[in-house]
Amino acid sequence: MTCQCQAGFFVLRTCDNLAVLQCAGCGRAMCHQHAAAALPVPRCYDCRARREQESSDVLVDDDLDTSAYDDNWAYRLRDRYHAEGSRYDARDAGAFVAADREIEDFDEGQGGFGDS
Amino acid sequence: MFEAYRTRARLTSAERQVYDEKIIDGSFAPADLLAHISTQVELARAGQLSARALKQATIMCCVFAPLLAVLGLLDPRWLALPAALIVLAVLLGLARRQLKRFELPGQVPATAFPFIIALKHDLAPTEPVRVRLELSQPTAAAKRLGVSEPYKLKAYYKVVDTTYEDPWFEGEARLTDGCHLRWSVTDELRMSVRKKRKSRGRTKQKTCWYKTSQIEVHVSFPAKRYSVEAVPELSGQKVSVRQNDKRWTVAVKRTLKRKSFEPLKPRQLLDAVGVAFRAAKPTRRVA
Repeated sequence: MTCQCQAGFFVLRTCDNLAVLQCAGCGRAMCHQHAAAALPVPRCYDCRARREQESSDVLVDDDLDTSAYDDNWAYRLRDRYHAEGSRYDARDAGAFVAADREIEDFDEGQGGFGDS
Repeated sequence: MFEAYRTRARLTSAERQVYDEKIIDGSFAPADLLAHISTQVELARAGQLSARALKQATIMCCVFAPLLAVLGLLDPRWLALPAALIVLAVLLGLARRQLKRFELPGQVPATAFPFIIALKHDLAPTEPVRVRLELSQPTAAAKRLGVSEPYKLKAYYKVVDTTYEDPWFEGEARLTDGCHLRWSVTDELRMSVRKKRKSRGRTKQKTCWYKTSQIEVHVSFPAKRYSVEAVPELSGQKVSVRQNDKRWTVAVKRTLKRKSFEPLKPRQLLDAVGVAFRAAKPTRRVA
């Protein structure tokens, strides 16, 4: 029996690997590649992504910490990407536009001032 | 304290070359590319730890030198110790400056690494990804475009802007369904140093960062398997579609502006690629 999980990020496709486990969440047969690691019961990445309500925008204290970006993160993001569609909107592009807004923002007391 | 140098000594010749040239340029299997990036991140982390240890040692020298100098006033034989500590503090400071070479721009671990993690799911394990990833700082001298003449801006009596252009990430890959993906990210940075006078003649200085990221994505779809629909225009985004006998090509250009030095979020880059994929509908199931 082949794995019933879907491979791919942007383009979903069937996984051709041999199934060796069954997901405790959705009951699908899955291969080792699609079994989420470090769980007490076998679950596929999709079920784990749905269970975890964490944000796909990883918050890390350390700038050089890449440990949060793994297959779990990728499947969470994939789940959102296919469920919600693109979350990019005009606000992302227009984070700041008018030069005359700069002075207002400077006077807001944000960090960066220092005696010289 | 010497963790950075120990980690550097363990690098292979290929990794050492990447460290020296501050660029990852070539074709790699996804796992190899991730390993390359991870090695450089590990090296930067070791550099950060070493720099922290050196900073603490420098502070200790600066604290104890005056204390020992007081003892030296009582007995001149003690004067040699504070002098030695001052020399040591200077040497440690110089060693810390050398560790800047180990630094890595934030976008490498925070944007490029997760982008490849996500992208590898659409790549065959042995299919190479061609990548050019800059590991040098966005404010490196070679990336500086120019420095403005000092000018006045309302309360600020002197403002000097320095602009940088950093084409830090580009690459292309052939995906498992026959699509061809090409992407590039170029950051334009403006560092604005502003000075204003406060009460009692004091001067305040502030440095502000303005960052504009240009993301360009081209996805070429095989016409046998996909048809492409029109994509709605959004502010800050341009999408164009071209077609020839064999392929559809969707080009997405995005401009993201922010008032900080922060790197792009990985989803912002992945979303730009996603726009192209959303425009295409499979007409035939991929075997």
